[in-house]
Amino acid sequence: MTLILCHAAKGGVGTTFVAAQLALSIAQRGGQVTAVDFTYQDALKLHFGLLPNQFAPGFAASQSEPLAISDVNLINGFAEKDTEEFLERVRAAGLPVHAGDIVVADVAAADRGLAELLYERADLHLAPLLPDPAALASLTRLAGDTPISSREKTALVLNQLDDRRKLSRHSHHFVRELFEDQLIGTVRRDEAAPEALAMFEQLAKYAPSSVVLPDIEDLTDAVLSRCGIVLAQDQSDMREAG
Amino acid sequence: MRSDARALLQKLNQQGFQYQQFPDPYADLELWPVFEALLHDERVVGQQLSRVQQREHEFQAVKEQAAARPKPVQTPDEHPLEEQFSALLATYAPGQDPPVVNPDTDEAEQTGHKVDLRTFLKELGGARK
Repeated sequence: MTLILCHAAKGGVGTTFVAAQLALSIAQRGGQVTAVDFTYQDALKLHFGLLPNQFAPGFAASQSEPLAISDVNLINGFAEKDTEEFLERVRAAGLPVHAGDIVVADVAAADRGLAELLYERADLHLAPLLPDPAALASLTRLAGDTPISSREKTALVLNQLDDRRKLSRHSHHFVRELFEDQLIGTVRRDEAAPEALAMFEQLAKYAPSSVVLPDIEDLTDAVLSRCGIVLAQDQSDMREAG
Repeated sequence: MRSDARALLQKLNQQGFQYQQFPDPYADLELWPVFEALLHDERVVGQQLSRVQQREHEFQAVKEQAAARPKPVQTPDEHPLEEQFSALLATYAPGQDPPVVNPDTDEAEQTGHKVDLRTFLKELGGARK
């Protein structure tokens, strides 16, 4: 199992959005992906086109009745995440999913306990960030007293970039200069993203030419590379290119 | 042309448009106070060391590495140092008990320093009296 932990120090920076788009992108390349929503909001499913009154199964129920959308196995882990049985299972053997899965876990900003637990097991910690002062200031809270720069598993994604805004441009330059390779991706702001949610459609279907999609592709490349994963489709692309 | 720009042109059924990249030169980058606060926060980038502090840390690391290395073996196991000294001193003071060098109480031995020549000669002179 490869675990990609999506957790930011501040809510509302697009953690769920990044987790969903990353899961869809990896699945599209042929990866066996499970996306787990550990948040109370239960919003991950909306990015897959589900309605608010449609629910993904928990870990236990997904064994017998899995829900796969666009080849992503969806699990809602909120109800189980604080149970002693679940915590012991994670400590001992990781998340209860198929061994070969690439798991994208969406953890709420305030749920630091679960984030730290999963960080120990994670191959990569993806921390989305907005180019605004509140989100930047939250970097000081991302890893407790440990400097972000010394957390080898932590990588940043600057979300909702808008080059027309001065502070957004400056924040991008600043974060790039400060964290260098630790900033592994940027995603441009596009109104099509919330519009797709409002339509209960996946972004790629609602707005196939959205600027977000190539950015997510680049981010997926970087994430897979950091995790040392080469998918079958990427291998065939490389063969064709060679 | 960027792929998203090309896609937009197709969507708008246009051949071209005025395009601005917004490349901010770094000279134009304002040091917003929030940036400055982050630069000086140890939780973000760790402890910022001055050059002198950095050299001190490097020196300390080298010292610690050296201390962590196992002590060089000064004598073969079959002839411990204390036996060699005792045997040597015995030749100068027949009839007297030769001074015994005990590594458990000998400060120089405990600190890993070699027994220096001056100490050795002093003991040698005392034994001859």
